[in-house]
Amino acid sequence: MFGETVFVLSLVLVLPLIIMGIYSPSLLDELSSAVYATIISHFGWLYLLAVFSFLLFCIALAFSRFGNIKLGRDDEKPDYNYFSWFSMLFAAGLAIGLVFFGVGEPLSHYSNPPGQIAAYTGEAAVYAMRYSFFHWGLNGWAVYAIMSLSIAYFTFRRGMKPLISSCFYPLMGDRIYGLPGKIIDVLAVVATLFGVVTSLGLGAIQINSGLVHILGWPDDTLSSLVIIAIVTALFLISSSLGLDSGIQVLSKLNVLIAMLLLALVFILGPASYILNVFTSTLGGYLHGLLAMSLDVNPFTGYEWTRDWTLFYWAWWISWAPFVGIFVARISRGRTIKEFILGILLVPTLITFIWFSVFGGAALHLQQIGGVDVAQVAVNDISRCLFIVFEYYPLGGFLSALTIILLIVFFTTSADSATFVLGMLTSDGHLSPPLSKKITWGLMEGGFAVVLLLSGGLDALRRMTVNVALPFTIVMILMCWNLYKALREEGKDFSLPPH
Amino acid sequence: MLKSVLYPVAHNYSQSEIITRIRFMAGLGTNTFRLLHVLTNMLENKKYIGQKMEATAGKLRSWGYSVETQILEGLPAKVISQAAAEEGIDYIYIPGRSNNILYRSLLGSTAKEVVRLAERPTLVHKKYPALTRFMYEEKLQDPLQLRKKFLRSVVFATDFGSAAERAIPYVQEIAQHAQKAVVLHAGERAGDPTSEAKRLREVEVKLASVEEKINLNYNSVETQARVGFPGRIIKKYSEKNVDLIVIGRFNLSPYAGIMGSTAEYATANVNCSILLIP
Repeated sequence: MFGETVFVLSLVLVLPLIIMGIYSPSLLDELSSAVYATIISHFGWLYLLAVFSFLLFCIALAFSRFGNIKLGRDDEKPDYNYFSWFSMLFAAGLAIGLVFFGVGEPLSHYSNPPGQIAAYTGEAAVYAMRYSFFHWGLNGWAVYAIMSLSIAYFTFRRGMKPLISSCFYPLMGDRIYGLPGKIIDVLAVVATLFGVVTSLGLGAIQINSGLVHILGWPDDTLSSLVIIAIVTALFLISSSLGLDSGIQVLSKLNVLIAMLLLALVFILGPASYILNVFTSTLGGYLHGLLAMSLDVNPFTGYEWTRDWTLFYWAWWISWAPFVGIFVARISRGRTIKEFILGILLVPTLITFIWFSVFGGAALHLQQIGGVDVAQVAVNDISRCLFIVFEYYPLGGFLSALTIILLIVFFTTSADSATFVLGMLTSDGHLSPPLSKKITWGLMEGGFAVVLLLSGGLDALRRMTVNVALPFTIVMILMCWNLYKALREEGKDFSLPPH
Repeated sequence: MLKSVLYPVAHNYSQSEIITRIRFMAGLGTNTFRLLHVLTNMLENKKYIGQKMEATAGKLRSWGYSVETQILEGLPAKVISQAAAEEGIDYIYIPGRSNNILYRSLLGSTAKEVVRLAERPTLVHKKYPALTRFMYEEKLQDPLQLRKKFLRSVVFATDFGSAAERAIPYVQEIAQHAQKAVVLHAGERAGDPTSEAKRLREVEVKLASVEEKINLNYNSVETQARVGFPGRIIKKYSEKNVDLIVIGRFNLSPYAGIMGSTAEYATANVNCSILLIP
């Protein structure tokens, strides 16, 4: 009865919004803005508490007696080696955001800190770096860890389908196969589709602005459409090659290009300044983690918190179904402790290094080089990285490398999202049929194009964040389900792992 | 097994209430009664209360009951628990009072506290209003008649743990004349459908084993397996015309330490009487 429910319900929910974005972007804008404003204004505390609780839950699980439980049979070995695993984690979890915000976010905070801090000061720089670390650090990765750990556990240890609804068996029982379970999976499909379509659209704009900057490429919608078409073709090819030949290879390529870019910017830039920024910000981050995690700023700077921290947490949560299912898929055979520590520490550390190098280089240029690159970030955040490269030796090469990295990141993210959508709508099949993947891939590209043309992308981005609210509740319940299932390990009736 | 009882009485008790309740307990096979009053403030007149209790005890003794009285000072729940433990009493009888939520929130519940602290079986008797209605009927003056009237249906809530095992003889003893018993297991659902099916099979076997142990004492015994929070399931089941719930005091997990045990939850929330076996 519920065979195609997820697919059909997803379409029933998504299509009207997409059609509204095409024919009446202002209506979609109004609708999404109203819902977004209500959620962010009234549930900010919930996001902060929930995300921080996820982090605590992860740490507690890793070091509890459950830490040694395998995500699979007890004798099972991991499917992928560390390099492949971390590469795919990194590519799926961070994607283009890292490139987009690596320079832009510290500069934005530096020029527009919350009210209690004076802009363009040393204090603002410290705040900017610390909060950049915070927004891309342990808390965000804990969101992904909860989702992926639950899915991996119920799939590989309990032999259930790799669906988000499967994680609710201890609470809901057989109702996960009925409408309540389908609604959870539909929410995941909607969040994933909105997220990837938004990313495709906004990413195309950013690649375009890079091409405009270094090649004098025409700055118009047609160029962005061409980019979307190329990226869509690339990820469809990658998708048809399957997980091992497609996404895995792309992810490794991603990491290699990212590391090369990172190393070049570090070597060609103010290396010792960057190391000072890294060390100092790491200390500040660790020292202030608790305060930042729970600081809603109700008295001063709430707007800043709402625009940045709350948006980020909602954004991480809205991406969690997609990243969670994908990361779960590649994590079979790891222990819970290894999984949590791996997903929390390694990508976080790489992100911190990334932000120190790129943010540090930009702040160095701003404070010591006397170039007002922060103003560029205020006007157009997607351009500031390329502006920084203008003052670097091999600047043109670095910009070109960045564009290649953006394209590869994009292709990887879209490919992973297509894979996840295929899984979710083929009843959790671990290798979803190619036809489903191609259908979703074309829909993603098509929706991105039409929304780019109509100007409805920002509204869709807000809708993506709006989906995060129900998903926050879903994730809190997920923790409870996971704990209940883990507590049962070793009891007589608990079957040997699948 | 239920030969001697500690019966805490409040300062404003009525003699007829005590007599009715003691008749009810006699119907359970109890023959030694210790009436205890706990002084909680300086304003209470110890001498007057003592005389009043003795007067009631004298009347009961004249009918052949073995009754002692005692007055102690301190926190009621703690004093009751300690007195029961020190005297080697078989069980504590707690008259269930108001279920009014405001009353419970403001004043707490001595019954709930005794349930938490007591190391002896505790009977929280919540059917007094019904008992009063019939106490003047000639045929119900007989303790055994009272028992038959008010102990028709018994639910034994079990988690198959050691406390539940200890409760089985009480289930056999207390309701040997009752009409019907239900063995109720409320457990947590397993983490996946295959394990859940296996868990249910195990539960069925264990329920059948309990049923076999108590079968002789009842006209009919049925078994029920439910999934969910035990306290809430017991409460739901108690609404089905149940007179007494027998429950082993289990669920003393760290969670129970914070949120209260299943026994405490049941004591506070169900409307029928409860016998708790520690």
